[in-house]
Amino acid sequence: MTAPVKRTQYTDSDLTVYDVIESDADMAQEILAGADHARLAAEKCEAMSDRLEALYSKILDLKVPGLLAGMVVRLIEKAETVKNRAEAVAETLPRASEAIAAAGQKAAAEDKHVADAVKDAGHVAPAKREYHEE
Amino acid sequence: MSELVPRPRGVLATTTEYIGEAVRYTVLLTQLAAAGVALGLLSEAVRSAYRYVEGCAASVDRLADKAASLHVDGDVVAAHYDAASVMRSVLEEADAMAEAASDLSVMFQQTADAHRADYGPVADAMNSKDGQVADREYYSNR
Repeated sequence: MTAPVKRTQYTDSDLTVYDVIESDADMAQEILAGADHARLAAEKCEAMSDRLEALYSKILDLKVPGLLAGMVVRLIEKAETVKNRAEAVAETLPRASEAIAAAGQKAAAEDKHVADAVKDAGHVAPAKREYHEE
Repeated sequence: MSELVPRPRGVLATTTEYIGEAVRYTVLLTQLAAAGVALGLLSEAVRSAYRYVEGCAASVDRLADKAASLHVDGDVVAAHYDAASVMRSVLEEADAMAEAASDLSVMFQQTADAHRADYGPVADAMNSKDGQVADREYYSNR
C-alpha cells in the first residue's frame, strides 16, 4: 500500500481573468442602471417645467403683483437646463458602460479559454509562463 | 452602489405635481420650498453618482495596471485604460447636472423667500381682515 500522491496546487493569485470579467460586467451593469435613472430625472424635469408653465399662467390670471411671476420665469428656464443636463448624462453613461463591457469581453476572448482549461484539468493555476515555452 | 442617479421618483413629482392646481399663497410657498429641498436632494444624488463613476474609473485603472504587471495582452490592458477614460468623460456631464440642480434648488427657495418678503404683508392683511374681502381693484392705490 502506497500513500496517495499529494496533488500540489498554488493559490497565489491577486487578480484573475475571471475577476476581470466579473468586475467589468458588474460595472457595466451598474453604470447602465445609472443611465436609466438619469433618463427618469430628465422626464421628471420636463414634467416640472410643464407644471411651472401652468403655475405661471395661473399667477398671471390671479394678477399676483411683485417678483413672483418674474422669478417663476427664471425657474422655468433653469428647469430646462437641468433637464438638458440630465439628458446629457443619460446619453454619456451608456458609452461608459459599453466601454467597460467591451473591455471585459476582450479580456474573456483573450484569456478565458486558458483559465477554463486549467479549471477543467482540476488545477488551481497553471505553471509559470516559461514552463510552456517551446 | 446601486443608484448612480437615484430615482427622482416622488422627489420632483410630489413637490411640483400640485403646482398648476388651484394656486394659493400659503400652499405655494410650501410647494416652492419643498421643490427646493427635492432638487437639493437630486443634486446630492448626482454628486454621489459622480463619486461612484470616479471610483469606477480609478478602480479600472488599477485593474489595468495590475493586468499589465501580469503581462496580460496589451489590447486587453489598453481597452481598460480606454474604458476608464470614457468614464471620466461622463464626470463633466454629471458635474454640470449636479450644479444645475443645485442652482435650481436655490432658486426655488429664493422665489419663496422673495414672494414672502414682497407679498407676505398683503397676504396677512387680506387673510386677517374681518368681514368681507372686497374685489382686488378696491384696494388699489393707483
